[in-house]
Amino acid sequence: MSQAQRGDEDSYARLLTELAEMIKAYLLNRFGRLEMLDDCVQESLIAIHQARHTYDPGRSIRPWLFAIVRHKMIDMLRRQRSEQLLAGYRQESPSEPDPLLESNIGVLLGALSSDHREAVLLTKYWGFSVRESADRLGVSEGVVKVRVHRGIRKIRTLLESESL
Amino acid sequence: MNTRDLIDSLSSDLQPVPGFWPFWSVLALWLAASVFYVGGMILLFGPLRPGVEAQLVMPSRFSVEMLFGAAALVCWAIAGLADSIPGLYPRWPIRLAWMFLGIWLLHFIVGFVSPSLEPSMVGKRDHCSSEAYIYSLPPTLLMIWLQRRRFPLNPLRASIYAAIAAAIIPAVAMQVACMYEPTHILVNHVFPILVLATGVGIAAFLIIHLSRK
Repeated sequence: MSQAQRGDEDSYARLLTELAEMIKAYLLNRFGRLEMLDDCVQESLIAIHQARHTYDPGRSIRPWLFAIVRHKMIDMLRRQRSEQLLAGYRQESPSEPDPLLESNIGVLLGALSSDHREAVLLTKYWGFSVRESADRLGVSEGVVKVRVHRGIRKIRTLLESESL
Repeated sequence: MNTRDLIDSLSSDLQPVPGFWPFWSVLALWLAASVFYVGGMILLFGPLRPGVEAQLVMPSRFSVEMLFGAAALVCWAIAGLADSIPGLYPRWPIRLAWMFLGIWLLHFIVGFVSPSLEPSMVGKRDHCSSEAYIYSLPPTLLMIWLQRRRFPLNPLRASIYAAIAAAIIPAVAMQVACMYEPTHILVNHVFPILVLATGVGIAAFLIIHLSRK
């Protein structure tokens, strides 16, 4: 990174290639197979490029790097609407046993309260709109939005605690 | 665009980044510039409270109170600047900042029954509240400018931290430049911290959301 900060293009290209692999492995480990995985990797690389002047060569790159990656991941999670996140996966009946909860992301989702987990799963993973989710849960759309917001905030806190 | 193409694009025509200013140097510069500015303005428009030099030098609850105020200022400044560098000190500055701020404010609340100094009107400034607001603005803007030159992952939060740090400076300064009375302190010196933080937060929120459209 120090060489990249000095403008060495070859070093920078090698660094970004390595970082892309590192980021992809991290996201696969934390979130499993997601449709937006490549998008998140690319957005992280762009953010790394924009923030490269803030990296202190005297410090480890990992806290700096993963702060950016976690932020981008949470950002993308927030922005997902009715799009399906999990490739080739749609749960018509959320009451059926769901292998998703047994995957790596289940560790994060398992830490949420049942209300927050349901809201995040319905809107972010199973692709239901806020209105559809509200109908399924028997609550108002406002309540669904609040639960999703709090669930994502809890996921962010859990991810940030990994840096300690 | 696939990831390979993106990497090629980002690494082509790569410009060297500007020289890196160490975090602690930037922090020290902001603190020095802001404290000297606020102190200078306060002295320009009025004297210090008579007898305050003796109150500060003697070991007393008042000098301890001032120390906690200064500690709160430094910690909020660290939190504000660190929040603009990804992954740098994500936890301890903000925890210390809240702790010192809380202890400092507790002194005034306890002061309703047991004040650090005998409450009086001595040294009252006619426009201390307005001064607190006005003097806070340039340091706030300076820190936000410093933050924007880095890469705050949460610009809204970073700007609020900046406003709090900046508003604490005149609040602490008024402890030696204005009258000492807990209600007056909370309403006229401390309350501007909350108002400025809220105002800056709202402005930052609007600017961020309008710029995304």
